[in-house]
Amino acid sequence: MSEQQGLLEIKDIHISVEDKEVVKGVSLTIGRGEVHAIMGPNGSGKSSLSNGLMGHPSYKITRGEAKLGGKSLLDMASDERSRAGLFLAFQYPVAIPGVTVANFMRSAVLSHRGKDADMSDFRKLFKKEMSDLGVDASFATRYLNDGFSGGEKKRIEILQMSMLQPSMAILDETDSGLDIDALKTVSEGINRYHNDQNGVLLVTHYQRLLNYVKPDFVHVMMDGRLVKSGGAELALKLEDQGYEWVENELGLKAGV
Amino acid sequence: MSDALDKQKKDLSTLNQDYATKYGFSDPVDYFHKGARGVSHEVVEMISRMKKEPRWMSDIRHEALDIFESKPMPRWGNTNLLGEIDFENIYYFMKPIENQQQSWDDVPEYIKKTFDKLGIPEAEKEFLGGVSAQYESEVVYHSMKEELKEQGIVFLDMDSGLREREDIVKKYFGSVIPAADNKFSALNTAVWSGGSFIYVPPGVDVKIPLQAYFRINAENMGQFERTLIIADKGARVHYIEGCTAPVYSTDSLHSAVVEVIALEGSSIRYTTIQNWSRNIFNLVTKRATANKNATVEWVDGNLGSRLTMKYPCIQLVGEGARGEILSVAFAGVDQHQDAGAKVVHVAPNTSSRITSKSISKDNGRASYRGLAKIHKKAENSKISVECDALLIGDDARSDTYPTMEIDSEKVSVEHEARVSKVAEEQLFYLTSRGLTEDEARLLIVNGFMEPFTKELPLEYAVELNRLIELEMEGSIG
Amino acid sequence: MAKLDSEYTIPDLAPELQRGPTWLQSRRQTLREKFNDLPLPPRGLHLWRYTDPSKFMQAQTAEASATGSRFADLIEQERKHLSESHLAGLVTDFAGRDIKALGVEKLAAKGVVITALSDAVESHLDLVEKHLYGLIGSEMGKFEAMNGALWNDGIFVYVPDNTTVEQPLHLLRESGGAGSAQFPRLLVVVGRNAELTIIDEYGGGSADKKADPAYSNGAVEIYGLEDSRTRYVSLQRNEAATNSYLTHRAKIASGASMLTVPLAFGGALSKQNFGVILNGPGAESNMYGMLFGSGRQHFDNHTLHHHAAGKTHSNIDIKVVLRDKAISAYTGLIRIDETAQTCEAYQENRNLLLSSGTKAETIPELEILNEDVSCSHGATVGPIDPIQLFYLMCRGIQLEAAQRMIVSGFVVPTLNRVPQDMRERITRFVDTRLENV
Repeated sequence: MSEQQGLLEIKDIHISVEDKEVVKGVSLTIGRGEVHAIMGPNGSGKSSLSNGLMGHPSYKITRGEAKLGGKSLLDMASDERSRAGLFLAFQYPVAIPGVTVANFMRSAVLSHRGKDADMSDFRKLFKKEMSDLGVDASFATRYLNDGFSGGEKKRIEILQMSMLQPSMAILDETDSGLDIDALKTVSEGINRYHNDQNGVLLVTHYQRLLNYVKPDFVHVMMDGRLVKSGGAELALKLEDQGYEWVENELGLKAGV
Repeated sequence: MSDALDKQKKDLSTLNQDYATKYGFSDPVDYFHKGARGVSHEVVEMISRMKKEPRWMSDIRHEALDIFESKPMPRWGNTNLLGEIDFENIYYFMKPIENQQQSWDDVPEYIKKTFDKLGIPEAEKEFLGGVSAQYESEVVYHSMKEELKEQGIVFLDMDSGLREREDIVKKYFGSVIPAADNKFSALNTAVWSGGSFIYVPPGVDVKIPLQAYFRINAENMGQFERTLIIADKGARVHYIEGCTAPVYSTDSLHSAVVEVIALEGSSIRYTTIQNWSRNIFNLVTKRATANKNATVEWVDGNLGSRLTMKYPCIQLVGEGARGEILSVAFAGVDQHQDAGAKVVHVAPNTSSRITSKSISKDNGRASYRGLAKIHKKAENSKISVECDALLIGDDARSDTYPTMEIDSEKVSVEHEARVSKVAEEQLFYLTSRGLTEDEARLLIVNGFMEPFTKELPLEYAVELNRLIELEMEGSIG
Repeated sequence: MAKLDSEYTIPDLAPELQRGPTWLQSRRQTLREKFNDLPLPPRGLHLWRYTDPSKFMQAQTAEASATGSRFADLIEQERKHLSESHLAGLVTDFAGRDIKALGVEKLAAKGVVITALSDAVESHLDLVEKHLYGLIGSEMGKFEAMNGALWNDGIFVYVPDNTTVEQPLHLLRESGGAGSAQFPRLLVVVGRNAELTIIDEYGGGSADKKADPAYSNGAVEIYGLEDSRTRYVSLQRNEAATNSYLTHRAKIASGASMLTVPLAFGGALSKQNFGVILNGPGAESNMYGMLFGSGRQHFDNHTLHHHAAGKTHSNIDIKVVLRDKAISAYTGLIRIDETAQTCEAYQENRNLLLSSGTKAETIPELEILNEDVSCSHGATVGPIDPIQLFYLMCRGIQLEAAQRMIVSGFVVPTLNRVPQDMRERITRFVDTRLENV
């Protein structure tokens, strides 16, 4: 994780929701070709970090900086962040009735390629990605996330990632609510996407996704901070011993 | 100790005195025998003088009478029934003595039967039936009153309130519902008598619900009662008026005005159950203002009367204020319950919820009439309205007249209404488990009313359920 | 020049009163008297809560020119559609006076009548006398009486029993310019087991906000006989300084279906009242409407579904999109009569507010007079959901495009309820309007 190779560079990021600080100074550098995982108990600030980086209107970045490929993200609107190569697979994707998946996907791809881009390959590409992810072709004409099951929503998120080919993908609790088959399909999707030029950040509560997508680095987040970093073995230890172990080790629970 | 005892004795004795002055038993007898019907400045003056009111109140009354006379009758609602009201034939102050107490024989049979079935005690029956003018409140009320006094809580009938806390009454009387609000609020302002006055000082949490004189009392059931409730900053209070048992009166018009003021951070819940006998026009104006971060809740149940027109209102005038209205109506034979709710959002970040449940049975008619208004400056406000109507019988009628006026963009307003009969599938499910169809229907109706009954104190809830059971058996009316 | 005059009364000698056979003249006289006797509806009362009725008191005095002009391109294009058999016929109506039916010869051979109402009064006396004023007569109100007395010429459409008109019939109505007043009228009778689609388009009027407004007061009566299938699109895209008032009533018999698509985009002030009476068992009525308001446009729309017979089914879905300082008031009544057992009726009104100066009023009303019904309505008012906007932008879509996408998504489910063959045309109208959102 050397500095000069940094794809996503986050320095001392603070994030507030409704004037309450939820991320209290996180620094993290993710290099090209790397898979990172942030793990932590509920309410530790993992999702806030993801949403803040993407520019969610409720998550205000109050301090720090974040750069993608050397460009500062924080001055950009969410669509510019996306076109700059950042992608967030949401934990709870919002439904937009009336907007079909295909129509939405076409607009999104077009926005990335530029207004006058050739879109002749779109349909083929879209079909292929759908079939790779086990998404039924009928989803193309369904309204975006409207009435989708938890698993369907997650697949559609990964589908978007595959179509847009971002340089940096953050996957927020993508494994939650998935049965074992869906988990496998989704993981395969992530692995297909991942190459030595892009970065992946898995944000998760459990270790089980990490069985399928191997992280190079694992960070533990607690109370808005990254409190411990290590390799893939850290995830296994967390799985085995729970988060209490970290708390004890760091004396976070002292006095309680 | 003995001081307190003396005090209690004094209170007891003054209670009766109070009653006498209020109803003018000490005043010249000839007036009672005149039995003046109709309203005039003379009558208004008489009321005010007998109550020995300050001049400002008297002025308010006279002004209100002029407004009453100049205002047309409502051109909406059940205009046919409203047209039957004969203002000239109503006693606005007191009845001639011979009419004051009717005999038990005059009380309609259906009311007596209902009393029996509800197991209402003898003394209470007579009061509710309008036979006895007075019902002995239990001693527990007086000990409760002591407790309240210690916390600085003022809980009086409105006439005493005006005498004892003129400063507060003057400040708030008519501030939420001016006389000119509508024809009936004008009438009430002109001739009001009785009602409750409550003031809760800052930060005081009234732990037990304040009931209008422990279940029932004469002043509270006046024809033109006037109620004023003020919760000072951070105070909390729950007030309950009315009762589930039917109340019989020969007066055809009941027209109350209730003003509720929730100051910053306070919380007021107002629970009403009306079960007036089915000869009565029940036309009531109820409105609350909720200031910054205050909460106001109306829990409003309508079972009785011939025609009720009542739409409890909350004006959310302070940022962060919250309002909730739960309105329930049961319209049986020949009844029209025109009930509803109004929320007016004036300040930003305010939220409100209206839940209306109505049952129309036989030829009964239940109407929901509502207003959900958001002013331009009330950004980030939220309103949710849900109306459910259940129809039982081919002649039953249900109306829904909601109005939503939204002048601000960043708001969320949702309204949903459903009208249906008891679902066949539900009946089938229950009967397949061994219930008779009547039992099943009653169970479903009780379930339908559950969101309301669960908000009531236990004794009310039990009585209400029993009453619905009687209604469903068709043994009332 | 016509002027707004809230005291206006129709003079005894108004030339329109002399039009038509004696029975018609006498009906016109009755309606004239009705109009003159009725006071202006009191403001604030029910359907007039949000609109000033005096705005529709514009006298019929303008000397409108004999032919319209603004629709020349559209007419040209529709002629092409006619020749390619994409249209059943084209009727142009200028100022409620000059009616021309084009390309209707083929249908005439099948017994379908598409003609000026003034001709039909002669040629199809029985049908006209039986149905004219049957749904919009003297009992409706002041402005309906005004149209009833003062309509100069209208359009008459009759489809015989068991006859299907495959392609839509396009009625193109153009209002005169500043200060003009017109009273367009339409009478449609769809025979037993017959089928008809009408696109009733209102446009023109005045664009000059400094001059007197143009005024249009229309009446549409549609009869769907047993087992008939009628689809009626009403498109209002008047010029910016035009005030319009429109009353529509349809009555459908047993087994008949009616689709009504009210689309209101134009004008300064537009008050429209769409109503369907379900008059026989098995009748079904659907209304799918859309309204786009911008600038200071004022819309006041009403719908009525009156279930006068049992086993009937109705559904309403009205979408409103507002921006700038536009106002929409919507009052929709579902009424189910005492004798109309086993009915289903649904109603939905959603309002999307795009700027802070807009006002949306919505009053979905129910009057249910018997037990055996299933009935519901819903209404919502709110802005674009910022979370939806964020989601789209997270995928790289720019703000304006994302907004447009959400607005389009807001109306698309309603649009999709319209049958496929009509959807394309309507989508075109909607898209033109969306471009300006």
